[in-house]
Amino acid sequence: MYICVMYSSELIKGTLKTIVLNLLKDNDKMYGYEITQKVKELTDSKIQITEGALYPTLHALEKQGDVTVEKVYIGKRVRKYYILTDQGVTTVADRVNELSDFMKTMRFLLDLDSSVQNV
Amino acid sequence: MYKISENEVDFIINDITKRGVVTEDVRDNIVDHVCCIIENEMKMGEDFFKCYGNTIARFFRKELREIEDETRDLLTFKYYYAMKRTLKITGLMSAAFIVLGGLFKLQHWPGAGILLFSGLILFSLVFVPLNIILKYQDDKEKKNRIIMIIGFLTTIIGTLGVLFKVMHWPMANILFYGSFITFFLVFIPIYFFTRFKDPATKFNAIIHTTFMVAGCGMLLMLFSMGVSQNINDSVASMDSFQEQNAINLEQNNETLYEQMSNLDNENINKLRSITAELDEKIEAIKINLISKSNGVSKEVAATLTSADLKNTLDADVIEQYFTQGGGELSYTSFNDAVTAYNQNLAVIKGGASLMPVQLDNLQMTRTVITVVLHELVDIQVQIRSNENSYLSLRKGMLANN
Repeated sequence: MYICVMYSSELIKGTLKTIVLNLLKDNDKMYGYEITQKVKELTDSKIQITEGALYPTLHALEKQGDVTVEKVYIGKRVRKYYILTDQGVTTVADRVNELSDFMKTMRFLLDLDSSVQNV
Repeated sequence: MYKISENEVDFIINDITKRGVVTEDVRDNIVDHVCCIIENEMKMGEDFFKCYGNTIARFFRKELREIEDETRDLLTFKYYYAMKRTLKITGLMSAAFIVLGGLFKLQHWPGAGILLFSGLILFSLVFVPLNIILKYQDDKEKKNRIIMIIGFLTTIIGTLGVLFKVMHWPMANILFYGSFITFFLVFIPIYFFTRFKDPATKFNAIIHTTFMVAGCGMLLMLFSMGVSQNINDSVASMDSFQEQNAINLEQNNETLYEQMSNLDNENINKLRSITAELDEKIEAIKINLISKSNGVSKEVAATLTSADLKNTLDADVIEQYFTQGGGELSYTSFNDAVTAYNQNLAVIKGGASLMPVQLDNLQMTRTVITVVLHELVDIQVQIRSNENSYLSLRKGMLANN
């Protein structure tokens, strides 16, 4: 039920919120299908967010107050657009910083820089 | 691009609802997402239902409601830390209140009731339910969840039983013993057999079950312990001693009546009738209380004394059938009868030395059956003794004449 086809779900489980929040930072408002398509496009299909993982995350972000929802009625369908709140802007900055720091640490821990240099 | 029709949207909404997604927000998202996929990805000439079937399958592993469950889990997780903090605080507070309340009650200090009340309410209605919610999320295995819920529910009901008992509210025994029996006959066997089967928990199952069975056994032993047998025996002997006095006095008086049978005195007859009337009422009350307390018929109760009481500390029977109860055998009716006796006694000529029954000085309500039975015998002795002194006095006067 998790995120992707190319990476193991354990690896990406903790980054879904960051991915979604960051996308919303760059786009005014987005709906679910649009988010999955955008991620697929940006990552060249390397990361494909499954619907089963996306919606629980969006609901959680809404409850936490990081995003708000704007409903648009298309016939009998209801499309929910997600918009980053002021709190969400702070959260996304924190989350991106945290992830970037984590990546640096992992790079150092796994000695990736030197192995790259050695190639 | 394919354009989905209103009918097809209806079909999708119905199908998704049937598959267990009932939260409106979650459903709206899925419906729109499915529609988007179909509209963007359906090949020309492809059947809508086939395409829908393939699309919806992408949303779950086993069943669609996983999305709803996961959403709920994520949402409750937000409150996880708040709940844990509340759990710790209410746990500490309820434990402190219950211990302090117990101490205050032992020492008869004021405030014991409110301490015990708040402690037990916090424990049973906040602390234990929070435990259920948190453990339910922690343990995904159905079997463990069932055991845990039965255990905690019996704890809640048992604690409320203790609260009701301490506050002297009705239904306390049903709550307390009901939860105790459920714990013993349902929880312990289920706990034992489910854990015993698993080699990893087998050893702990034996140890824990032994502890629980032993604990229940000890509690059972405590239930059957009232006042010590010596105290019960001494109280019973005090009663039979006084009962005997009453009988002796009655026999003496009968003899005196016989000796003075030729004397048709209005006062003597009046005393005889008011004494017999009150005495009969007292006997009827005693039989009623013993019959209700022991759960036997009045015919059987008439042959029993306070030595035969099953529960010498039965306060409920007094509350229910004497203090609160209406009718001929209630305290109110008894009080009226005593007042009538006292009034009649006062007008008996030459009866100035006779002692009226001072009920005001006697606490006959908010007490236990043994005390009330003894008080009633005391009153019987007193009225027989009044009768005896009057008859003796009259007999002496007759002799002098």
